[in-house]
Amino acid sequence: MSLPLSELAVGQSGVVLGFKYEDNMTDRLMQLGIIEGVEIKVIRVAPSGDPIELNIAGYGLSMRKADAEIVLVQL
Amino acid sequence: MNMNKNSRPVVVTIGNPNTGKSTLFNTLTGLRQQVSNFPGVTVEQVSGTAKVGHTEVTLVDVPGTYSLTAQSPDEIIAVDVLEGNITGLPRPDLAIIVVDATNLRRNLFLATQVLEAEMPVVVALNMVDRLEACGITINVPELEHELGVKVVPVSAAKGIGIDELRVEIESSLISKHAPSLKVSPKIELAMAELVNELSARNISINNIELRRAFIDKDSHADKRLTKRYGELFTSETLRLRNSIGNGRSIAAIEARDRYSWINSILKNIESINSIQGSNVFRFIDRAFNHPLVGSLLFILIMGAVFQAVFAWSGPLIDGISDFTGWLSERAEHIIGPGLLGSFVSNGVIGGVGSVIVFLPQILILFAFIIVLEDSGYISRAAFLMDKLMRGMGLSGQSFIPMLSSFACAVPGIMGTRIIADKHDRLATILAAPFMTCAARLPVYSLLIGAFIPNHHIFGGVIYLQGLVLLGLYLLGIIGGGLTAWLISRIFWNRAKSGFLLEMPPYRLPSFRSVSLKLWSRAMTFLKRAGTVIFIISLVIWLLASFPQSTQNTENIHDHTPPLSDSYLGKMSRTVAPIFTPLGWDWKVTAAVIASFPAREVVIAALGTIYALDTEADEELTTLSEKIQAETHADGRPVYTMPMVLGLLIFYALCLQCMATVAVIKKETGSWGWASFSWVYMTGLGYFGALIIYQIGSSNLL
Repeated sequence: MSLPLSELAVGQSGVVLGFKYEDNMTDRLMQLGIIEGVEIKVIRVAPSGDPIELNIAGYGLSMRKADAEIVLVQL
Repeated sequence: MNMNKNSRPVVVTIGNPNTGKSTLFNTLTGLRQQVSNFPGVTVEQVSGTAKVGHTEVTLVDVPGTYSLTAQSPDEIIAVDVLEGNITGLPRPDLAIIVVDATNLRRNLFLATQVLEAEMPVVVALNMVDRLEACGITINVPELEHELGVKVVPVSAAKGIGIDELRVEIESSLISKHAPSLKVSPKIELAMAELVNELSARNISINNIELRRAFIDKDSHADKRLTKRYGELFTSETLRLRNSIGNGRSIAAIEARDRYSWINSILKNIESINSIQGSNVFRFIDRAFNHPLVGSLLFILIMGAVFQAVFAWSGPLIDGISDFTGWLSERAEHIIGPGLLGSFVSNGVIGGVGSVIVFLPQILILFAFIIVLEDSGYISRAAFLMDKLMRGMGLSGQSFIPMLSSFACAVPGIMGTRIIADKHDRLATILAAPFMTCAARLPVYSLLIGAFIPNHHIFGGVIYLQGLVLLGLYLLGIIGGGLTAWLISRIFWNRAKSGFLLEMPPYRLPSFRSVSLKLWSRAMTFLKRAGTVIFIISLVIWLLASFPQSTQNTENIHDHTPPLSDSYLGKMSRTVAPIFTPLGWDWKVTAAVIASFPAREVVIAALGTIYALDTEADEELTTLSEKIQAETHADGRPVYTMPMVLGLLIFYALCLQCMATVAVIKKETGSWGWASFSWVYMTGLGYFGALIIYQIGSSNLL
């Protein structure tokens, strides 16, 4: 099942399937390693609910939920 | 081989942020660094000299970047250096690619991009000392084979492998072997065709620049080449982009091809057994990230930083003031009174003194920021602050520049280069000077100490003086926040890129690395702010010392005019009516005008004004006593409570700092924003003081 990365709960992980649409932001995300086939785990959510911290195949990256929504993952 | 002025080979260190690149640079150069200002570039480049074998090389450090698709000003510099597009700096003879061994996959993205730059490369595989703890093993010979260049395992922080790295740098400089890595057949085909088409029209462009321009549509490189070659270039790139892109961006094709190449080679190179962080760090991580505990720790850490900045810098600042005071007295004594003596003691020594007096606070704050950066905490702070900063229209990335601005807005504004979004960056630049910097404190201390009663309130727990100081800090934060918010409203853009921040693992900062970074940043600050403050101090001295008086009979050597007759005094008398509604007389006006280039000068200016004032009571010795006793011509005291509060607000809001104006001009690339900032802040200060004075002095209260 494909769902946006922003909807994963803390501790859940998913494999990137693609993006809702592609633009400069997704080019950037791909350069940072958020690309088809990569496993991403949600490490935590900031106390204020946003941004979220992710583990992308071994390294930590934080991003806002609005940006994570573009990324489609499979549980 | 490219030769610079000193005919030394030029070597550049390039890598992702958080890879220990600066530490490696500092290890290779030691203290032989200088901050150079290359014309045409909005920023300085840190460079230094390093000895590799028998060769002396010029080592250039470029800001860390994840990709050659340059978005932030920092990243643009990195690409410009590689392309040889920086005036005064030849194209490097060699690139040292610094790679974090514990995060090979993502680091290889940039590394493979640089490997296409057609220049000799040595890869420094950094942080190998951490591999074991991370459960990672790397087959170095296999990596060398795949990349086609030498890979040297090093630990910059521990000084491991540095000699081997020097050997490889030297031999690569001699062999000049440049790798020829090709990871994307599609892009290579298009590139070959593009080069052919352009050379048929007698256009030859350096490969890496053309490559980046083709891949990164609308990038800095694309715009530059479009400007240079116009239609010819755009039509060719457009055609080829469409033919291989099928509607997708070339940057996306590049990213996919690059990562699939990286994934295919890593199968035989990297094996990860188990990811097991140290228990201590795991515990720290849990504590720092607990919603409540983490937030409390954040407040505690920030509180401790500020406490230390003020408590530790006090004695040092006093020591420096006393020493420069003593030195300028000695100088005047040795040279004798007169113009030369006054020039040396007040102009030169006073000028230098007014620069170094800020060093204690700035060094202490820098040291804390470097420790927080190196330990990995600063990213967590930015993570925590993002939502709050977003309320002001900024992002978590603005947090670090804002924090630096509490020592001095100059390094704060320079620190905005990490912000990719240009409107976020502009908003941060315009908000930063509102933060209460080191230069405002002496002014606050004098006025608060002299006029705010030292009452305890709320049952003796809180000092009124401290409360006023806190209020001034908050005023700065609110002023900056509202300014950022306004700017972000004006440039509101839904599609703007968000907040992407690497969360590096917690690391224990090494003393050597922290002190070398501190040295490097202090030099940058001195060069940037120091020169401006020093020149301005000299100008003020000139304005206060001329025209030389001819009718001074008391001392034949001393022709220094009374302040009211100097150029400065005359200017102040002319503009004094503007400031009358604020409750200022011409003396206060003179001091404020003298401090427009650098606000801390007001103390010295007030000192000079009241010292030269013959009507002043001889028994009043300290400046604080003198200003308390100062009256208008009709006998009303000058420094009434509304006037003092107004003056404090004026200093909190007004942009009285030439160094900041200069740095805003440099970082925004336009006098427009620098002048806007000056007019805007000065206007706020003026009206703030006006409102407080008028309301406070009216009979309404």
